[in-house]
Amino acid sequence: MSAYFRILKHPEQGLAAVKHGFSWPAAMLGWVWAFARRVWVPGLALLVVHTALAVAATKLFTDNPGLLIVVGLGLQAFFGARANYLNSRSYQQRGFLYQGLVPATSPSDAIAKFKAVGENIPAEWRLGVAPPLFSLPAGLQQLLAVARLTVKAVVRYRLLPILAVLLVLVVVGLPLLLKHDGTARGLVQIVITYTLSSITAILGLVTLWLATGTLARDVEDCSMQMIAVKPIARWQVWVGKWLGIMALNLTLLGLSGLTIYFLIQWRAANLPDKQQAILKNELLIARGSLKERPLDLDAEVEKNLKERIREIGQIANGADLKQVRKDVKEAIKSQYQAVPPQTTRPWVIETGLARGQLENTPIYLRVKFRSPQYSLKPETFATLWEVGPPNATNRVRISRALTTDTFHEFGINLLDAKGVPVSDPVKGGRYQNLLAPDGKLYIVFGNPNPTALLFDLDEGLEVLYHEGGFGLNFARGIAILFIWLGLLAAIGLAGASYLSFPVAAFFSIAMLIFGLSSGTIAQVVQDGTFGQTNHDTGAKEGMLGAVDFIMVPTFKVALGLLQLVNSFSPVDALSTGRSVSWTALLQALLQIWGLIGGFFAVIGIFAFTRRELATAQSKG
Amino acid sequence: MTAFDPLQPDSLARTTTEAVVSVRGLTKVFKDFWGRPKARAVDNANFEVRRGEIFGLLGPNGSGKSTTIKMLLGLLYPTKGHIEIFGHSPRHVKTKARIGYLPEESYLYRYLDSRETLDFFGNLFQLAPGDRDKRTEQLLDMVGLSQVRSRTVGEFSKGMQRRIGLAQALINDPDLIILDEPTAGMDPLGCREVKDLILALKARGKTVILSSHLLSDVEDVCDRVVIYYGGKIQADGTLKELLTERDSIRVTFPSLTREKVQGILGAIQREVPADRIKLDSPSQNLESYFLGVVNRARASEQTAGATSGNQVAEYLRGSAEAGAQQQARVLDRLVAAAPVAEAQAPTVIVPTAAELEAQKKLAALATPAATAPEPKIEIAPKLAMDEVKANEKLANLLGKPKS
Repeated sequence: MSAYFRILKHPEQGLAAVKHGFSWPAAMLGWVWAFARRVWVPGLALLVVHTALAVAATKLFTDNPGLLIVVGLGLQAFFGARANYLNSRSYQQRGFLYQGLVPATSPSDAIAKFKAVGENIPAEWRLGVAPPLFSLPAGLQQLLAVARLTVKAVVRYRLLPILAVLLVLVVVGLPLLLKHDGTARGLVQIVITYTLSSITAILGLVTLWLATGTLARDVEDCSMQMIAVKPIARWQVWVGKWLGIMALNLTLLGLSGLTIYFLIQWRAANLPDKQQAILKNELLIARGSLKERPLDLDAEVEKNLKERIREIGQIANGADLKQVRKDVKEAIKSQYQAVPPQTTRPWVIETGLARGQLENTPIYLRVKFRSPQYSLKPETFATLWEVGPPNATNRVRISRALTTDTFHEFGINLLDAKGVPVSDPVKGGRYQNLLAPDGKLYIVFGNPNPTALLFDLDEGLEVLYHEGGFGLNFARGIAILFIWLGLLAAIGLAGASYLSFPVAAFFSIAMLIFGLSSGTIAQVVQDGTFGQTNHDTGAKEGMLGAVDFIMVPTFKVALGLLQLVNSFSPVDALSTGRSVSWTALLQALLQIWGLIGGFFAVIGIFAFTRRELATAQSKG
Repeated sequence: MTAFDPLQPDSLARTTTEAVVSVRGLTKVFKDFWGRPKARAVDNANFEVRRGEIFGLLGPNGSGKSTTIKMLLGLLYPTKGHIEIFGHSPRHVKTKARIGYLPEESYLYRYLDSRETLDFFGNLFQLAPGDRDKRTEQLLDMVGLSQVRSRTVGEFSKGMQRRIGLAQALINDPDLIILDEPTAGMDPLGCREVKDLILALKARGKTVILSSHLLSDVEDVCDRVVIYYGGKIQADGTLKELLTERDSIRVTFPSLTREKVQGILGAIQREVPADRIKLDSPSQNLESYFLGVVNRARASEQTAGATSGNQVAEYLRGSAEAGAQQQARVLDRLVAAAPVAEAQAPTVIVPTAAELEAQKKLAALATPAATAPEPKIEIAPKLAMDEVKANEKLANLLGKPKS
């Protein structure tokens, strides 16, 4: 079977032939092939990646052979596909000029054929085109062309290498720079929390910058005119740009995530056995969460209020029913939250579909409580816990001294190999089934202290159970970060759809700051004013009437929208071994891309479609 | 308007009355930030461009040519008036598949090389990969950029940028080509090639709208023109209608003896006053001379810049007819054109005061000759010369013209 060879000619060095298409030698030999062919820069880049993989392999090959093989093969296949093109470019950079494409069986055959025709190069050689390696569906062709163009712009303007170096510094440099305390939690805190947050911040800002720049600059330097006069709808240009930015994000976030994944596995090998067990059971794992069914406090408030009104006969004139409802609600809430001295507080957790998982995997309680006494520092209190079906004989009793205002986690069904309850996971250990026959988990807290303890309704007690492995959970967490970046790209593009670059960049950054201010917005909504609230009387002070009248409802709507985006916390979940469920991922996709991102996309595409892409110019 | 026009190469014979572009009452008012009118760039313009004609937009800077073109392309929206292109609005996406556009400046992506540029635009036209690659190669060859395909557009000279711009405008084999200053920044060789290309496209029944400051460009190729000033169309019509002075006649014949020339002049002077008669020797223009020199040098020299363009891309020539057959058809057409031309009225010129001075040199110009061939009337010498040169160059590239 004959192949196609590019013939290149140098005024002094003569002819060279480079095969068109996939290069098996390059795929097999990698950087060795590249150096032999004087393709220096790609060869060097490949050597660096190979070295990194080799280092990773010494620690990780045993645990993750499949992943390493996939990454390695993918890398070699990519290089093999690009190698001949890179070789041809290298020749042209050295002064060779392209002459034509000759069908031949080997490079020497191609050169011989070319020499044989002399100066009369046949048109089919000069204009010859090799058959494509693959073809795309026509519908996607335009979208992907714009997406590729966007990626090329980033690569050609050398933003990608700078970004890559920055990410490498964060992913590799940060964990080396920050020394952890030798515990599993310390390691996870640095490698996952800090690095992943930093990467998200960097990519987020870069995404906004790129999204505004790629569209606004194309319009400003008139390049967009060349696209707009072609048979491609404006929405396709917009979506194509978005796809290009997301392709970059996918690559950069994917590689960063992969590096973090390998890095934490590698560094975990240096931890003591006990910490490794904690890492395996509590952190590098996907733990599902169960809570008590939410209470319908409003219904109870109404019920209490009606009873009280019935008792007193009628409401006094001028009674502030709103305030009454608020007070009653607080009173009911405190009844549920507070556990007075020498009393107990039960929780009934419905396990639902997770029942199977809770029967034979480790279960942890995650608790946080506070004391009504004012204290600057956390105080320590004795706590008693009893878990298991009511009236059963195998109920587990746990006694622990815990501090206030801190999240505590402890296993409740851990057994050693012989079946004896233990407080920390051990190698070869087992897990006791504490579920009642009805599938519910009954937990009772006893307060032996002379003071009441308060368990917040939302985050006072949580049951954590083994739901899945770390790898897939990590991938889902990264996917949510990717979805966030997609929203930022949509915001940037929406701004650039009608605004000039600096204004669009300002708009995008303003939106980002607004998004990060959800705490302040929530506070305003909760207080019902922009001014201050007197905590003793509950009265508003420094009130700005007209501003409050307009802005508080606006903030309320904004908060609702922000919660659609901010209700996911993948970094926090990953660093605490919590599950990022498929449901959460789907929910993120629908809420962040489907609703908020879709809103910006519709606005942006509408504006871009209506926009005049040319301006009054001096010529003509 | 289908009458044969000897002034125009290939004439308007292939032009039909079908309007490709129809502009009615077109007005564009640019407004400031507050919506107040700032400038009336185009004011109530009306014209039609018919299929198969080369239509020129003329006018000084700021007269409204580019604004009109941008409205035709859907890049600007009219304040008032109506535009139809192939029966659709300029914003109709599918119609754009039939349009090729070369803007007045290079608006191409500077970081793409020439091959990537054509490949990108080929993708926007949804060309199949094989077709796209083939056209890319042919266009690169046609515009003489084959050997610098790996250089980015940002590294190109202005002329090279015009060439790659022209190539991208043709990648979809458009039915309507809109060229805004197509020869700006090009060397004379490139200018000639562009004009040849425009004529070749017309021969295939393509419609061309040409905006240019270079009146010679327009005069060489355009069938009809409109002249803009202050946003308004000041004049429109065929070049013949606009330029012909019907009260003058030019006669060209080989050199004769002084006596014979005086005899002829005497005969003419019996009908026309002496100060209305002009006599001179035709001379080759600088463009023709330059092209001759460069063509002779071309074969032996190599250049790091754009090479001379080669054949018009095969797909632009119209299907896969054998080269020999194509040449034969072209030559047949050219041979057939001459007798028709001879039957036409002589070309007229506009005598100027300076030219009248030539009469005083009558004696010097009329030199004795051994043999005195019969005088012949030469029709449109510039046209014939252009056409011969065009067809020397395009000898095997003009395909079967669309009827």
